[in-house]
Amino acid sequence: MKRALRWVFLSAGVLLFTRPLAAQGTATVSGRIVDSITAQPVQGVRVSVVGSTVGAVTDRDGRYTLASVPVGTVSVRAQRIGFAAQTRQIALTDGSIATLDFELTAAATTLSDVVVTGYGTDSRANISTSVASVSSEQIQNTPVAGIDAALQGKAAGIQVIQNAGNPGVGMTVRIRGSASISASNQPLYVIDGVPMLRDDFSQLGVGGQDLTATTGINPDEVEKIDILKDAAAAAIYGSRGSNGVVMITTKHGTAGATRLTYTTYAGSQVVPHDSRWDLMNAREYVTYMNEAAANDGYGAFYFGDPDTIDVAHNGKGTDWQDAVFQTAPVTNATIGLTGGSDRVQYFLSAARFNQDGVVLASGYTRDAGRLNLDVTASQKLHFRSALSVSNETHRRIENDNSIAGVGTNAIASQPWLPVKRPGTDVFTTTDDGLAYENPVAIATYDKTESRLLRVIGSVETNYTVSDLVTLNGRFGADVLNLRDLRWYSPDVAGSYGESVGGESIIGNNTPTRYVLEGFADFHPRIAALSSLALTAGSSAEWNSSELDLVDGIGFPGDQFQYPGNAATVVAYDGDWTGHNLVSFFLRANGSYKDRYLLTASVRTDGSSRFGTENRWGTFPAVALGWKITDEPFAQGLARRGNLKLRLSYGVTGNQDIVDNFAPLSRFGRANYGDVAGYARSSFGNPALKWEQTREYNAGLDLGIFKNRVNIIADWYNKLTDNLLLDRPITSTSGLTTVTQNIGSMENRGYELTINALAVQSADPAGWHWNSDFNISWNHNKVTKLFENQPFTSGLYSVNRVEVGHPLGEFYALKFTGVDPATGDAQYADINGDGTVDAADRVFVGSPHPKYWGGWTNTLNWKGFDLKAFLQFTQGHTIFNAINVFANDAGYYYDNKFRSLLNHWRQAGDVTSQPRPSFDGTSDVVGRISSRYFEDGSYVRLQDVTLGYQIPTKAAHTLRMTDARIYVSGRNLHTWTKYSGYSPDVNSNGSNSNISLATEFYAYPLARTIMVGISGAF
Amino acid sequence: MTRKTFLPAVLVLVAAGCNSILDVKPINQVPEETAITTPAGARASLAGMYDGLQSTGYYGGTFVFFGDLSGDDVRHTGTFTTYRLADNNQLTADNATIEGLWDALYGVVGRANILIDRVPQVETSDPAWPSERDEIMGESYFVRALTFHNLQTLWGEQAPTGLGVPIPLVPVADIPSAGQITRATTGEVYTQILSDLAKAESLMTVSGQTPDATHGNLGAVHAIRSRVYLFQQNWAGAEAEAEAVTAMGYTLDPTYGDLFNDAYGDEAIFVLDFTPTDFQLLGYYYRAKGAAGGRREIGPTTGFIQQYAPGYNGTPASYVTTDLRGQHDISFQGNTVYGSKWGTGIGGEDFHVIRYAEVLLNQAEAEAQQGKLLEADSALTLIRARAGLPAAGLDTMSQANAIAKILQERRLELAFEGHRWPDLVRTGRAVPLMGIPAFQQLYPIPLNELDVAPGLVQNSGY
Repeated sequence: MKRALRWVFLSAGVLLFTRPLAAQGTATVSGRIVDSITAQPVQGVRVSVVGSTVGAVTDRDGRYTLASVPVGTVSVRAQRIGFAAQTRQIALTDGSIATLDFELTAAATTLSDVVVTGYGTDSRANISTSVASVSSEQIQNTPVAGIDAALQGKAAGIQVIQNAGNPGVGMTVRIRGSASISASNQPLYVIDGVPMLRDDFSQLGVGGQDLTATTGINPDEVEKIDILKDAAAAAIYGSRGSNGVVMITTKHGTAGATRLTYTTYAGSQVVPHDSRWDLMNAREYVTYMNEAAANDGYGAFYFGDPDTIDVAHNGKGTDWQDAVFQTAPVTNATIGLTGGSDRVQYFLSAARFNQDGVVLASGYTRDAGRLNLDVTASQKLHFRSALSVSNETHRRIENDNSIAGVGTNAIASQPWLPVKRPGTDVFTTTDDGLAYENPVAIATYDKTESRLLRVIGSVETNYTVSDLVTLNGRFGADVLNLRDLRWYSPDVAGSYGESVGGESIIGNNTPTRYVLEGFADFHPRIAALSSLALTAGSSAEWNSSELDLVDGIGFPGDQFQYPGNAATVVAYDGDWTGHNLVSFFLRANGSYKDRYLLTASVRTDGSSRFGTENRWGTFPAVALGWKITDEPFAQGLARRGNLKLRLSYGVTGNQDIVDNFAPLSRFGRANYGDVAGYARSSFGNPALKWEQTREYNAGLDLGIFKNRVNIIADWYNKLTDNLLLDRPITSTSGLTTVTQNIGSMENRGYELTINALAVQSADPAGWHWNSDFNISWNHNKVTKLFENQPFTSGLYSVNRVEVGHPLGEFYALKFTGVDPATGDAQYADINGDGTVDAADRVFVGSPHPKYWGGWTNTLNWKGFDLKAFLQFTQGHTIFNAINVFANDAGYYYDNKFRSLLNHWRQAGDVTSQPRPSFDGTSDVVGRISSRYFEDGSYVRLQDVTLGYQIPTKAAHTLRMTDARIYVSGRNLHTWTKYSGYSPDVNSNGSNSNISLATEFYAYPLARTIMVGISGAF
Repeated sequence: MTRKTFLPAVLVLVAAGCNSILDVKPINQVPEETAITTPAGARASLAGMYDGLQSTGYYGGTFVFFGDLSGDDVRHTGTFTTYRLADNNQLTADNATIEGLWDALYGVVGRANILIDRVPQVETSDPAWPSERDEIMGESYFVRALTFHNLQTLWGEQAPTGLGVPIPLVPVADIPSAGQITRATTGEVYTQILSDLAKAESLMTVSGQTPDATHGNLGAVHAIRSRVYLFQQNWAGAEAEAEAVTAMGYTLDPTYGDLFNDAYGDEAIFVLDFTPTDFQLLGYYYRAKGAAGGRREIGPTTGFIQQYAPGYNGTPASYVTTDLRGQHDISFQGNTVYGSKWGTGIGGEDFHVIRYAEVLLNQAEAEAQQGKLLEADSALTLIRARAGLPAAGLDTMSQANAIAKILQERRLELAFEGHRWPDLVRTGRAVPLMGIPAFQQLYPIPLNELDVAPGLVQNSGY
């Protein structure tokens, strides 16, 4: 350990502390950049001297100045999103002041972009792997906590499932499908070169929904996001690349006068009425339940006389959904300060985001600050640092997949009972006849908070040894402290809190990650090649996590909410865990005649998570590109657009298993009474190794109509082997699972991205219409399992893992209708043995969509801008498990779906709703059948924004250089047949690999209307 | 260092050191190789075995609940569908709670097997070790026998040549061989249970009254053997073992309710020491919601309550009984009736795996079966007297009526302790009394288990 540390530090130290060499002669270059069509100045163009760190950004008048430019003939490059980049050469002598103007031509953004590739950047024109990019404009001013939510529908190949509507909730993100069964399927997030902590570190169970550490990043601080999709792109992250890599680049300062930017919005969120569960009112419920009871001989009015209930409101009773929903504010304010000299540039920002939940007692707040610095110590030595601090508070409630939540009980509670006892301020309870705890009482008294304090930072240094060699060193850290506090109040009648006189849990978890990396870039000049760049380096990563927890019950009253006042400690914990990673990597990027491109890379990773036998893994990749329109024979075509073909193959891995010590057979805590004990807790597997994904990708980049329309199309086939699988084993062994490398999975798909400048008027105040469309198809299939034995998982074991089928395809009885003679539900007896049982289950739908995507249209006219964003997902099935209680023919006390009103009443009735039965005699209870599955396809009008750029003169009177006001709506309408709050549901949370698309009391998704202003001073 | 040699040199040197960076060891866990190599490790693993008995799948919950839910004393009053299906005797092989039950019981077998395998290998110069080692070994055999019997009562056929449960006797050597396991015959299972009990008896020296009742002990060996013989209908054996227990000096505690609120004395034979952190679910699942401290997942049936108060009609006022057990076990919160055997929902009350009252009932039943009604009556009278009831006068009844009376007393005395269902099946009353299909007398082997151990034959009907 010590030896290794010393060398890693030394290698980085060499990079960090090498003395800068004395400057030779320098010159100054300045100029103005205008739009080639409109002749208007273009602000925000990054101008840089190729091969050096000298750079600047144009101001409002399109002007820039580059100081300290090395003498000789230099290439100056001007680039900005939305324009084709341009490079011009200029000869400079010592002390000269030269002028260099550019006329940039607008282009669809996609093909002119710079992409972050991991340990470097490249122009999209030069890459032959599959990388999607999302700019800050596409994600800013979205009223959501995390960048994952903002990415939904914005890039092909990336599927974001909201899971539920809780503010700050973790989301399910899949890049090109699910590649694992037991290891994580979430992508690797790399922020400014630092692989970020991503998991949920809370120790509290609050139902299906979890947190994600990605909300610690304020989306307003993000400059751009690049998603490394194919294995050839992701292989530079080797053992962690198989779920794809999301590269986040934060904003950096630009030289020039200090610029203060301010953005703020405020909105109001509600649960759309048309998305609510259609439940019975009091009279309908009592009538239905009376019938269920009467059918089983309990008499006519077992649940009371329906005609006497809430007569004043025609039997409406209590709408419990109304009772727990609220109109909730969402606000965001960000102040940014940017500027600097040619030596030092800074970006400083501070922000507060607050989102109250649309369900009582829930919400999320984040305070975030960032300081990014760029320091040019000399012509050869450059430092770049990024530091962010955030403080998040999640105000949580028990949610999906919990049978004691605010939202859950609002769906389940009987409508004939009021929220409060008539004429009092006292909540109704189970003593009044409620089947479950009063959801409003839970929201009023119980409390669950998870608070995160987070620092992510990196310091990077680049030292240009010569034209040929640059050395880079980077130190990164992600340090997080999560404090949980839960309070189950004794004042919630009928709850566990009341049973035990209050329960309080406090927990701390402190995961940390430190990364030390050193790599060198070589640019050897080889006459035969038009370019060649080599990167070689090494990386070491240390992860650890320390936690503690105290859980106490028995409190003197509701005001004592910390375990310090508990009478009895009922649970406690204190533990440490860790894992390390050591890596070496090499990459070559070359082109021949500027049109034949080759990228090859190899990374070798060693992980402490695997057994000594298989600790090291090697991940090679190669990608080829051919710019056809650069061929002499295609010169005619080149004037109209461009065409590039790409082919790649790569190998990536997955090491993301929960158990850091899976190779070891261990004995863990097993105390008996007051005696400390231990017992075997795991079967070790010293042969454990990486999950491995081989991926083929073929794609083309096409620019047509003078590049006003860009098309990126890809096909891929992703084959994952040696799946890390917690394989069930016979319990007679004493344990139930062992982690092994067993099984294979396949994801195949197509992706298409189209960006078009559909209308572009010569007049800058005229009509402009941008249209961005993306769509992805993915087909997932399990191809091998242990002895090909299928197994089931998920709620009510409906998710089946079977060779030849998509992961977790739904498996249940097939409902064949209601017997008109008896009113009993009927099911297909598949094996024909005369009884309907588990052996008669069949596949009833897949939780994976056939295709999904997004379509954004932006219109500009004079100072106005109008954006509309549609997002869609088609072809997946949802298991709506609420049916178990709300579509049970009257067996449970829970309120029922109104569709049950159309039930069987007498012999001869033809209906799909069985005979009501309080004793469960109509063959409904315990039968999970196709009756409980719904089509989850939807198209959502996710965002419509209307903005107005305040005229410069008016802005100036406000002492602003730039001001825009806008009004925006999110989640405005969803076209779907699905009956619940949102078809974009996953009640098992973001770590559920097998059991996606299950609905079990998901938190509703808000509709937001907001107004905002952004400006600069 | 020149540029050319710098990078390769760094790479080589980092590579040399990184294997040590990659050695990360757990802190709160010990590797299997060193877990049971010292007396302290053996003691910790022994505690670990008892911890397994406490799990929520076993005596901390399911095993006790299902032992009554499948019978007619209690019904499901909560929200867990898998419980409801047990209550309705509609078990299927994919019932997740049944799988948890199976897993928990075999988990304990696994822990016992490791102790039996490893404890003899402990090397120490401590002169006290050999006797302690024998005690630990004896307790391990005892717990394994107890658990095999519990498995057999729920999953095994009754005929000696019928399908018994799998009886793994050594820790698994490797995963593939573990998957080869098959079911033993019922005869083989009982032979193994009795052999384990015999070994336990020969190794143990602690007789077992409180406070030693929290571990396996000689008294417990005899007591469990009387239960095992009862299930085998070896009446003479059951009677002899019960008498052996009596001879060791066990007595009934004066107050019934004290047994379940950690105030027990010499009635305890083998009791599991629960603390709130071990958390048994019994009180929490039986007691009414709110101030009573529970969630009432399970409640007594009207039919059962009427055993105490024949005039009970669902109202608190109609519940009148002189039986002290009925006064303790049944309570009301408002109009809601609930099982109040355990006094809180906190889960710290110890659980009696076997207590002297059961031994007396075993004895009475075994004696009545042999026609010794007078002897049976004297055993039963002890039970009834503690409940505040007069002697039953078994000697004045027919043998069949006397046996029925003893079984009725057993039903009341051991209510909610997980005995009703195995007793109904054992005595052949489950089908006629409950009106259930015959195959439902045995639990299904979990579906997932059949997938990974294809040699296991499912009970017929599932």
